[in-house]
Amino acid sequence: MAEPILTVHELRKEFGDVAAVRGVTFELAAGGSLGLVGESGSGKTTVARMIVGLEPPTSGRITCCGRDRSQPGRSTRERRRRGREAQIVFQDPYTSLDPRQTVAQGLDEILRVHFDLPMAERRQRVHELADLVALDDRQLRAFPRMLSGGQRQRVAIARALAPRPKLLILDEAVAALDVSIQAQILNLLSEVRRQTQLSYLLITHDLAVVRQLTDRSLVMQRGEIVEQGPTLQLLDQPQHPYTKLLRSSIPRPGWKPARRGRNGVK
Amino acid sequence: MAVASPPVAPAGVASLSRLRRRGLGLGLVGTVCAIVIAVAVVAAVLGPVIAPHPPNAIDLAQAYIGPTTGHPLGFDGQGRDLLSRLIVGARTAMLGPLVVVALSTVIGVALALVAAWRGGWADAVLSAAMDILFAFPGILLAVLAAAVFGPSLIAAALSLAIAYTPYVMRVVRSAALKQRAQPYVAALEVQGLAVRAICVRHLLRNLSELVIAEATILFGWAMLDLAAISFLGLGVQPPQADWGVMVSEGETGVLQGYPAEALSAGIAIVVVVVAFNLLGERLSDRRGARG
Amino acid sequence: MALVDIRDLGVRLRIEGVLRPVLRDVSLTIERGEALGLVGESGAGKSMTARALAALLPPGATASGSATIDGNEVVGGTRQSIAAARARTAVIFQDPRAHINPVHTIGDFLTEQLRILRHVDRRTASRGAIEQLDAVGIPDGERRLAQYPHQLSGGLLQRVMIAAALLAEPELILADEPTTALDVTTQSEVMAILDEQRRERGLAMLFITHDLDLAAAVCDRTAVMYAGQIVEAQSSSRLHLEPLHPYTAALAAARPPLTGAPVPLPAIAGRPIAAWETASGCPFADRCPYRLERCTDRDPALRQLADGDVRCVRAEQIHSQLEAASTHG
Repeated sequence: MAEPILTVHELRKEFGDVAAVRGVTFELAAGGSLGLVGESGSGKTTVARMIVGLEPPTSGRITCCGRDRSQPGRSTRERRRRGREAQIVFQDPYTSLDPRQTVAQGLDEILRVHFDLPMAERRQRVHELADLVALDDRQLRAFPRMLSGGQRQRVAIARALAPRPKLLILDEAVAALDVSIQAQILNLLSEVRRQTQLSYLLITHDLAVVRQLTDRSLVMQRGEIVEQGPTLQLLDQPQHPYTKLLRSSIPRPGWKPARRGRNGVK
Repeated sequence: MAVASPPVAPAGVASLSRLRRRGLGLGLVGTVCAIVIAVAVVAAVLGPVIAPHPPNAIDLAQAYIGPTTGHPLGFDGQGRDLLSRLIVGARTAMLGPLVVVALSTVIGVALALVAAWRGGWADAVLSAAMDILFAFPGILLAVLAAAVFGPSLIAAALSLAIAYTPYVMRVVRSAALKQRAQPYVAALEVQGLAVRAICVRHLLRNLSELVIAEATILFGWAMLDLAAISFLGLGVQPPQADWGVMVSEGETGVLQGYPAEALSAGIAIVVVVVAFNLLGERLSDRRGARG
Repeated sequence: MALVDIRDLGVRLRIEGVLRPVLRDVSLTIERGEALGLVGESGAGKSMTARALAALLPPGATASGSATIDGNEVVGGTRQSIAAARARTAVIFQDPRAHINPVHTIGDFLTEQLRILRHVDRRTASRGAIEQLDAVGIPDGERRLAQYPHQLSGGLLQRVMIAAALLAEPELILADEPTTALDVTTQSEVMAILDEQRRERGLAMLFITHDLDLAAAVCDRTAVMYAGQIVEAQSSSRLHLEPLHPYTAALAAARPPLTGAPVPLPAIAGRPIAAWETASGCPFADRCPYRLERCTDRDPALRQLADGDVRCVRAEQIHSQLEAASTHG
């Protein structure tokens, strides 16, 4: 098998006394798509933040694109280089874009950071990115506040794709969207991956979304991985009690909520 | 997980119509204040040119004479034309606060950005330093400066600038912290933008409305403080025409039943200070309404 | 007589200085003991409907039409009729932390209305509170009464809200996305409690959510809203198998399935719009795969079809197509 695009080994993160991530180990194959499933407190977002360098791990190793990134990049140049390897799309479309920049200005700025292109080529590249995420000219010229949540998320995806990264991390990227818009963005993400051969790390609490977009998944609970495997198998034949609980909690046709006995309170 | 709802109006259309309806969005009060300030600025810049009579020409024979043709406000205690002194006095009255606000804003904003961005130890030290500075009222520092360097407008303005810096720093720091915590800043970090680029091109631009609103309000306070300092004889020195100095010199006139000098200068101070305060608050409200 | 009777309810809000409609001729009824789900996406007007019913419209809003709870008029009603309507209603909001005073204990919160409105003494009120806490699955009530909101997790706090609602002995519960902010496992637990307690006491409920399946699980009937109008209302079980309105079918199909191999989702272009963004004719016409010329001519009225109501001029013709489109997952 080819070299994995991302390796995480015994990753730990402690905030004071609280261990948010306790010894997480996994791999993501190049061109693959991995789901990191969990609810609040599982540590999944902390893992994502450590991978992109927003949070320093307490211990453990992270390797991406063959290079170590176990601690956040110190120099601007190092951070820039890592920016061309892995990018991230956040959950909230309303605060993940600078309100003072038009979409085109934002994308142009990112291109200028990473590439030494003359203006004409940059403009063309901005249009290519817009096409990739199905944004039209009018939306390119707009400020974020003029766009809907779904449109803003497309912008965030375009921005993440601008440096041509190898790995895209989606941190609950569709969780804040209306159902019908979520479907559009999920289709978009599948299509983008098909066109660009990107690898995805999908952080989510939503088993249906993970089924739609990923080949393999890990389930996290309280900072640890409790189960992992091919996504379809994980969802159709869950082994761990927590995975089973998660699976049975999702509303679907014919589903009824069930009480877990009168004592299960924290 | 929360399902966010999009902003209620298609803001593109709405903001254009709002612009058409309310001009610059200053409202009636804001526009009036802006006009008052503009008049003061014109007087400050063109004072010596547009003053009808030489402001320092002493003619004791004219002392305390009331309004006559060519002298709509009359004369002060030394026979100088009051209107001319009032117009020329605008220069120091506006220049002083300008120095105070410019210095305290630039330094305060810079310190705030450093504290907000780096957090932790740097933030703690800077905040503590500002807390210590807060303990010194501007006028006290001005008295000290006058004692050490001799009384002058520059000494007074610099001391006030030091006294105002912690206020600017604190206000901008808390807004900067909020901006810093937003995901778009994290996204830019992950993109590999240089810290300075993020702070200047992004954080600062999103704070600019706040900074301008606060600077406007500070201008009013500085004007009042400097007028008081000049009144005490620690700032602008006579015979230089200055509103604060005129209030001070007009004291004897008031006691003798000729209040025109003190009153006209006093009213000028109050009107311009109120204009700055109201305009600053209007800018603040507008910023708040925009969310 | 139905417990809740809403007729031609319209609400206008001041948005950026202009009065705009957010609800348009909304009509629905809820019988005693019945649970009605109100499902929609952003801008549909479902929250606004609940707020109108609770007489909690934002300042500057104007309402037209009528909404009664047990005969008491809430829209433009007298203060007494609104008070009478509210006395029979309990509201459970989405974010419990925003609706509980953080400086008061849970005990104070739960017993306050009993002590003040019904002049019950503190000890009796506390006993009642402990009973309700037990009913919602919080066993050590004594200890909990002394705790502060910040000491409880979101799920626990929402159960406290449910207990508070039950303590008020209402006839109607207005639940506005009560579990949207909770983890899915917590949601399941909290919904189970709400459902069980509601049925045990025979309470009616207006349950607002964006999740069609969640509404179907706990509500006898479900109404679907789009652009400030009700576009379909049916018994929950049939809504999923035989949706009458193209939007309902699209909503059901948009959710990624939990079984089978992943295929591209049948997503429709465009985004859900608010009432004031609509042109003449059917508000969904722009995005509807079954649209014809006549769909944009006139606003379709809500009419009866089979055992439900639907706002679509082509409902009969496309019935079988909709049924086929929605059987997946």
